[in-house]
Amino acid sequence: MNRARTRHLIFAACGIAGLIALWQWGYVWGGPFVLPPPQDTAVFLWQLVADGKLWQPALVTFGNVLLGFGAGAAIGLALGLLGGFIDEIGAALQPVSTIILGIPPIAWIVLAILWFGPRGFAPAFTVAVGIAPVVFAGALAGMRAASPDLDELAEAFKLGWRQKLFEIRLPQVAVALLPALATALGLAWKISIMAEVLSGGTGIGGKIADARAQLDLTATMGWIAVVVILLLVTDRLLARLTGPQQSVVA
Amino acid sequence: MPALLELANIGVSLDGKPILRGIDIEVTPGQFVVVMGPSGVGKTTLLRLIGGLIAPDAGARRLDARAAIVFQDPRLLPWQSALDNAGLGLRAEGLSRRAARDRAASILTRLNLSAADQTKRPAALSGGMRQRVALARALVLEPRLLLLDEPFSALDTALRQNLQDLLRGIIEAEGLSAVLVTHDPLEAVRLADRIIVLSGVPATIAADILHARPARAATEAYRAAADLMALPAVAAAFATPLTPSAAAPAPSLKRNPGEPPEDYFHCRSCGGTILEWSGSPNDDDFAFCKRCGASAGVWGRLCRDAGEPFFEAVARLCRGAVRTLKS
Repeated sequence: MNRARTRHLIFAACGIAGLIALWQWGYVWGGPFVLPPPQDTAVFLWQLVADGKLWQPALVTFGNVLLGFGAGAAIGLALGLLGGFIDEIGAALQPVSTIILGIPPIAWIVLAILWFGPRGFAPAFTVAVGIAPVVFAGALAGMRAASPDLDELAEAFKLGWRQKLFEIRLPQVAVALLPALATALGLAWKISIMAEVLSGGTGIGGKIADARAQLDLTATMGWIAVVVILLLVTDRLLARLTGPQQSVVA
Repeated sequence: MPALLELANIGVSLDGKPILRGIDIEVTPGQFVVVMGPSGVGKTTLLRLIGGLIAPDAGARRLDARAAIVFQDPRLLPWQSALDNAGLGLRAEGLSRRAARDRAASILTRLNLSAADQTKRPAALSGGMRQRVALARALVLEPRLLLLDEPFSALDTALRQNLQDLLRGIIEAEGLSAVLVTHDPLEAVRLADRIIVLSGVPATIAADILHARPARAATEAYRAAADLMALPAVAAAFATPLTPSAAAPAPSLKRNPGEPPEDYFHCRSCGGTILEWSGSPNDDDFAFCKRCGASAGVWGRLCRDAGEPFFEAVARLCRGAVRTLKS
């Protein structure tokens, strides 16, 4: 680990320590009905792990995120590439994407609960609808920013369609697409939790809804902490795949 | 000897604007043709036409050999290593990545790129290395005709001469033909068997000069470049103004701190005309009259190495220049 990286990590740790200190100050200032003490939340988290009660809700939420993110990213990417190759399709889809992006996720959640019932596909569907326009916009921007010089290079060296797509076009699209995917991933977690809170599912959102109903602030903060940890882990994984500059959280 | 390339009465328009007209060129095996002309005249368009990247509006193009092009900027794929970049065209022909890498490695080694550098991505390579990778990408295809679009124009003088020598060596050893586009008379006389000068809008061939390749000695090359630019047809080609839309921005004069303003020197032949300096800031400073094309000499490495001040060197070397103070 080089010196700059160590320095970066030290400052990141200082930032997190500062946030926990602020949390502690909030507890001291407002009492346990405003914020639970951080140590109680840590104990709650430890008990969740020790009792094995963490995994099932985490897996449900992770499944919703994965399914919704996968479907939304695949649809957004396919349409973005298509819109980039065929200008007319791009022009037709762009306002549709803007309209969908403008609809708040909460409205989609309500519709999804009506369509799919309170359990099942509602969170994954809402995630897919929420992130597809983001990925579409990234893919379309990447396609439109493709270098005509590299297109001419491909023509001069008589590259086939496969080489043009995988060696020339997609790597250029990736420059705009990867930040969009990183943003979409963060969005997917937020939307999924929100959908689960409203639909009362068995995922982390459902647990947060239960804790809220029982006015259990420690459990609420504990489950929020679980979401943050899961987001950090998946974001790091995505950053590892796509390069550290693509991370949403660092 | 039958020609590899034959262009007959070629006309080209881009966006409805005529760029080339009545171009007749034949390139025979082993011939090194340099196409010169002022910036924006249509040299690159001609090269793209030869490479089949654009079609002519008029006339016929016949190419009886495999051609490969080296662009002005290297156009390397930033996400691939030098080896994979050099093997791009081979993979298009169905070679496996491994086989393409093996062939590319042998060419890159011949172009003096170390094995360690061959595995690096373009961002980690110098400008000269990148251009060598671009050259290798063309050479691995074993073309009979190499198309070169000012490939060394962005490099410094010493590196450019080094690559020119390397290129000339490979072309002679392999018996290749080449068409090189340049605006640099020094590069033309170093490399060419034949120099074609384009001028006007639309561009036509203003001069077609068979050229005995000069010796490598710098002084001889400078003299040959000066003589080339002094030829009336060549001088006129460079003095003919292009329409503003056709002309690229004029190259800026390279100056050292404390140098005189641009209109410091005037032409003795036509009186009072500012002397123009050839090409990009990296060129050797080859001086000729903007209006009449009279050769005025050069101020390049010779003067710099001698530590002679710019204006003193020009006053001494530039036979056609009169030094005048502006104020």
